[in-house]
Amino acid sequence: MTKLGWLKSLAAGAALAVTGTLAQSGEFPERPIDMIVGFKAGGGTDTYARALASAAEAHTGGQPVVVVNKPGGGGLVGGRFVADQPPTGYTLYLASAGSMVLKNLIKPQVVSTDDFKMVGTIGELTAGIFVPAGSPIQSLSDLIETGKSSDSALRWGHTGRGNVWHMAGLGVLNPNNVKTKDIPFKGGSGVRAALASSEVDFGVMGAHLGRGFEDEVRLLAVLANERHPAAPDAPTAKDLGIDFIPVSSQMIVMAPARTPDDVVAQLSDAVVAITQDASYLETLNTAGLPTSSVSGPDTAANIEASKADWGKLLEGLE
Amino acid sequence: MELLNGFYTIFTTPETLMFVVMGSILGVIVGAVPGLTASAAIAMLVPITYYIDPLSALAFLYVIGKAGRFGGSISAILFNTPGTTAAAATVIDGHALTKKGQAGKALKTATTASVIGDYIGEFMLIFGALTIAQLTRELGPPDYFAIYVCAFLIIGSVISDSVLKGIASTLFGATLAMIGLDPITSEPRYSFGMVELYNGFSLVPLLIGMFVISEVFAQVQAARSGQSHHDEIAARKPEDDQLSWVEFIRCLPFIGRGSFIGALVGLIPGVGSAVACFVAYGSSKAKAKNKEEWGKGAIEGVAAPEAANNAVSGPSMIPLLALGVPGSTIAAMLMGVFLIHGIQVGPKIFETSGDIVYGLFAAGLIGIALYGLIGWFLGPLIGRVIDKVPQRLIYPTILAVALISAYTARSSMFDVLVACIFGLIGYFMRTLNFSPAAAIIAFVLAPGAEQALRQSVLLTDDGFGIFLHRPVALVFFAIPVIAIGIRIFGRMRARKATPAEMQT
Repeated sequence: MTKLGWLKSLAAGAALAVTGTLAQSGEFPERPIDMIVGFKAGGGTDTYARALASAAEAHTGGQPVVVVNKPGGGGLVGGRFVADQPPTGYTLYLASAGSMVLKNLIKPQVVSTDDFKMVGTIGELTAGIFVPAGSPIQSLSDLIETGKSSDSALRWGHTGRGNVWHMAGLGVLNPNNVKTKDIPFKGGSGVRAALASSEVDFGVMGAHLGRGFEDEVRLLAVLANERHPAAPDAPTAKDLGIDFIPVSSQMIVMAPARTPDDVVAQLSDAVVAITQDASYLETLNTAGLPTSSVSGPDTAANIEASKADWGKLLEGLE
Repeated sequence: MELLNGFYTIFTTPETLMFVVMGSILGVIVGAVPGLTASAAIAMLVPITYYIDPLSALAFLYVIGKAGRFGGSISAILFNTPGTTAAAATVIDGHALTKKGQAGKALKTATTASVIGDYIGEFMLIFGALTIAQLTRELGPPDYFAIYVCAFLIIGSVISDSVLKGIASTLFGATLAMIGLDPITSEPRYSFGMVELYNGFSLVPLLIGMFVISEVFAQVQAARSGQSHHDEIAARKPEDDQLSWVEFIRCLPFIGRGSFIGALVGLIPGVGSAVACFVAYGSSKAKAKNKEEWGKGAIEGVAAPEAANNAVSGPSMIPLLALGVPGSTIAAMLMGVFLIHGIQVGPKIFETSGDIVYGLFAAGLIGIALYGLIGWFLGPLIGRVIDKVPQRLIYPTILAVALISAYTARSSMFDVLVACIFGLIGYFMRTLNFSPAAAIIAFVLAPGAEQALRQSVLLTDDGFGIFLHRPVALVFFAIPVIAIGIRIFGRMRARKATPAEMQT
């Protein structure tokens, strides 16, 4: 090897070392990020994922976020898949944490929130309590009174036992001792159809599902602390001063549990930035889906708080 | 009037028109490829539609659904393998025609029947959506349960030569459907601790296994035992490639009957094309004068189910548009597209987004004509091309495509395994003369029936008495009872006349 050649390879080696360190420490997203959704394309969770992905590039150093649908097991198949991926931050999971927490409180599942680090909350679906449009019940307090006084139990529809909307319903029925009998339907549209044909006395489903059905169903109240963007005139249970435990479906981005903290922090910043981006807000507003923008650490704290509250509800269920 | 505006919008927006054309071509192709169903293709394409305008997106997927239901008949006729469940009944007479060298005639019959059926369904949607929706809105769980029972009994009585084996196949399918979440308690049942089975088997891998893979096995066996006869796809005589006017007139009443049944079935959420085609086939066969030809290559046996499966398409949109209840997998995915574009699906949609809805109807009407042209002119051509490809290339290709489709529907290797296992099961069912089609239909219907029954009982305090207060439910319970009664009566009379022939 000539002197010059030796120098050259030394320089090349040094350059390699420099770029190597750079790649490791600095520019985190150096390739596209996969976001796994546990449901089919076209569903509510998928819509959030697509909205996030379409606004992402500006906040991830030009790297796209790619949405991958892995449906099955009520979203848990996709969750388990992400939990088993290398903890690099390049594979994320978007799910309704409400549903994951509830399922695990009822019975340990193949995957739980403990398998993940929380990256951020990007939206929150809240429940509405509806009656058929022709129902004599005019308000939530009316409903509670009727339920207490009548001899036969009121029949109400929800989207499946142990589902967030079932729990949201119990969250207002149990503290007020309303006598009821529940009937599960397939999805929010099933509950809505049952309300439209007056098969049930009332129903609990996502508050946004009443939009466009004002002649069929009447929203009595939103079971949350804040009003719903799709139904700004409907009072919340809190406004009405009615005792209730809020149960909601928070759309949360998660990363596998062993993902390095600095990567999660960086992702959390990116998610907060994306969820405040005008194009993200516009997409979801047209779809009538509520947005939120919460950082990773705050999300984790919210989940812990919910676990404690919802555990109480489930005790009443047995 | 609004419909004319819809046509105007489509013809003045080249982009939308292009998506309608692409949708019809793509639909025929995915329908014709065994194992790749129209709903699987739509599921893969939904994300793309987020980036185009709502009318183009909806028209694209809607037309793929229509063309795909037709396309399934191509592989049913040529390969004895239905490209989609919707074509499962077309196999019976369609492939028999191919064996006679009349593939071209069968394809043209299928095209004509599909187009007429589809137009009837589409006009019912356009002119009757709101009125019909008012009627169906009053249906509740007890009525749905009666409708399911009615469908079960009618299909079960026609689907197989042996009533006992037909019932066994149906029970097998219903048992498979028990796997997954209990519809009332939401507890996983028979999942054997496998999270993949938490929601039960999904339809696509089951379909691919039972129909496509089992057919490949059957072909391999035929080849090994030296019985492999290369089906004569190319016509021997020129008239075998044509559908004559006389034959068309002969088919017309069957097309009418099939369309009517299909349109009716389409109105009922969750029942779908596969059921429509069998109900149409069964009831048309019962009415046909040339019963003995059915199953051996009667063109009426292609016309009735093909008209029915396409007539489902339009009316299945009625519960979606008017009630927000998706009536089929495809409708559910279209609902997602409406949602992402901020269109609220429901009774107000005709006021709030009338332009898009009527544009979609117009796109449907154009799409039907397009796939009709493709089927009429290219169907026999496709047949001739495929005839030149040796069988040892065709079936391995079909197998490969089928396995890929099993994977892509949910990006799941588990589903590939499911498809393979059910390929074996389907093969043994065929060799033992059980009916894979009956099993699949029971698998599709059982969950809805179970949920409707259990909801009905929860909705009342007098248990099964609830059905007695429901006129609609009583009518649907009565239909199969009367139909079966007439059949038994007819058989008893026939037995008196010719006791020796009634040994089946």
